Amino acid sequence: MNNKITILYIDDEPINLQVFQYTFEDKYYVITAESGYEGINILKSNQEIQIVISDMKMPGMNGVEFIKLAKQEFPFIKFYILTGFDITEEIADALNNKLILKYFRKPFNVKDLQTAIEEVI
Amino acid sequence: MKKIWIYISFLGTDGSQKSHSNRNTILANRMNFIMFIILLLLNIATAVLREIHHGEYSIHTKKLLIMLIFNALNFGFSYFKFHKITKIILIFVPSIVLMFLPISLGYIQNMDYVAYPLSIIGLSFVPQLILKPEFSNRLYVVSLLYFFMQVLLLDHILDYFSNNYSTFYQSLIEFMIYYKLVFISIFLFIQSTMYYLRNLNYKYENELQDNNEELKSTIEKLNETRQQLVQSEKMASLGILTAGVAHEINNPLNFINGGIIGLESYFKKNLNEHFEKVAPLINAINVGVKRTTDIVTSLGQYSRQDNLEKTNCDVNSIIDNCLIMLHNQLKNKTEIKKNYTNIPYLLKGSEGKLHQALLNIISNASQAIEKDGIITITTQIVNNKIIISIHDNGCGISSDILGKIFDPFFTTKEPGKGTGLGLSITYNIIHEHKGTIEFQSEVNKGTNVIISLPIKAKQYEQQNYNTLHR
Repeated sequence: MNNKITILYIDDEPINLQVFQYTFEDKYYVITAESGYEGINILKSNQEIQIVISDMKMPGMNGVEFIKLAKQEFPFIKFYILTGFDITEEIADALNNKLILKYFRKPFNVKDLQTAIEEVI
Repeated sequence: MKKIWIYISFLGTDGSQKSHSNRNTILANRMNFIMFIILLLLNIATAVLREIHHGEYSIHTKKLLIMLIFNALNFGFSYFKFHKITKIILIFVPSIVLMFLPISLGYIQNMDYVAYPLSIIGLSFVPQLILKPEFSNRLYVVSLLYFFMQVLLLDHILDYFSNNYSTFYQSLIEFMIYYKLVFISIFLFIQSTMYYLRNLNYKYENELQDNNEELKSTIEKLNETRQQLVQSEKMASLGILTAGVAHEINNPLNFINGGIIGLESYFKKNLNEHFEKVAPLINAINVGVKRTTDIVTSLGQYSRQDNLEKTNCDVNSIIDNCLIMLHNQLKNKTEIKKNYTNIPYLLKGSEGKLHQALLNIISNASQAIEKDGIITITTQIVNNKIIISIHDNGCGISSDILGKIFDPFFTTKEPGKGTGLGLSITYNIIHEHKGTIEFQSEVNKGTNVIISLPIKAKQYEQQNYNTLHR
């Protein structure tokens, strides 16, 4: 259990969370949150998290906004965006500023995500 | 009868009434025809009368016949486009044949002294109607002088040919000068009025024609703009719709995709003996997800507005790039001919998008070709625009669907082979770059796509311009 990578996945759609968890639970320890606010709280209480993957369009705080906030407190965590949208200017800026390492399109590709995760660890 | 009239009227012309010279020719043809008919009827009438009265052929019946022959000849001259000869005959021959021929043979009657000047004034209408009323027009001046001289000298001619002074002339001679003055002033009055009216007419006709042409081109432009507006309106509202739809579909697609991945691994792990059985079903779902994802991705491109930065684009290298990507499709069946411009230019735009647009067009051209195809790609700079023309000799597009090719989801390909969004996306991209795209196609002959994009003249040309205009 201890050598598994811990991932936080944030999406406002519960089914997305379930599916993601189901897909990756064998390989990683997956924690889920339904919003950026919840995500921040979880990050604060769980120091194990190395990787955060967030949806872009969520009520209240969008993915990049959440990551900006989280990055200040947890500069060593790697952040990713998984979105149903095309790349937007906001995401492009986040990529340029190294705020996020990559952006993925929904529906997610297991291999792409795995490669990206294993690259950085 | 109407057909003959129209046929005769347009004899030897191109059938349009646009230019003045054409209209004059038409008028000349009509005059000739009317004269022909009248003379024909007169000839028939005299022939009948001759039969009844057992009369002889007089010079007066012969002159009608001679004039009739001239009129008939005129049809021939008109037919072979010797319009000048037709006009000259119409102007100069009637007074000679109808008056001077009998006079020269001594057929002079008392009333001729009054009737002939009036007839000449009548005939002098002809040049006014069928010639351009300008004093620089030599034929016009000559014909007016011709009739004027006749009015002036007719009584002397009559007098010269009548062997002995006719008693009528004798009795007139005192007043002749007054008669003459009356004829001359009538002649001058009529001619100057005609000249004035004809000139006025020419002026207004010219104005009218100019206005008509302007109106025509305005209407054409208006129609074109309307079509463009309808199309861009259609595209814009669809863009907004599809952007929303694309995102909303992506989430459920994500469930399905994730769900099927989970199911697959669960079967492999726990129910491996059943896996083979469900593999086709899983595959079916995967293919479905893949296809839907492709459509949604292109929908995303379709709706995406220009949020990417613009750079200097080199169309020639973009096309070359597309050709490299399509190399596999093209290599065994198509020859590529390139006529690239080497004039430098500045085209600001998104290289990626233009690449996508041109790739769509060239790929369509390639798909239209079965074998032995030629794709000709031309780029040229015309009036601050770069014109890209992509011509193929493939299967072509029939005219009934040519109007639909930019409509989203319109496709002629088999289900699953094309989304029907390619040209629609291309259209949007070209319009985002303030350009236009046009298709010309003929079934089984091929298709020509003409894309025009606005450019800026290269820097040094700008400097040249500045130094020239300093």
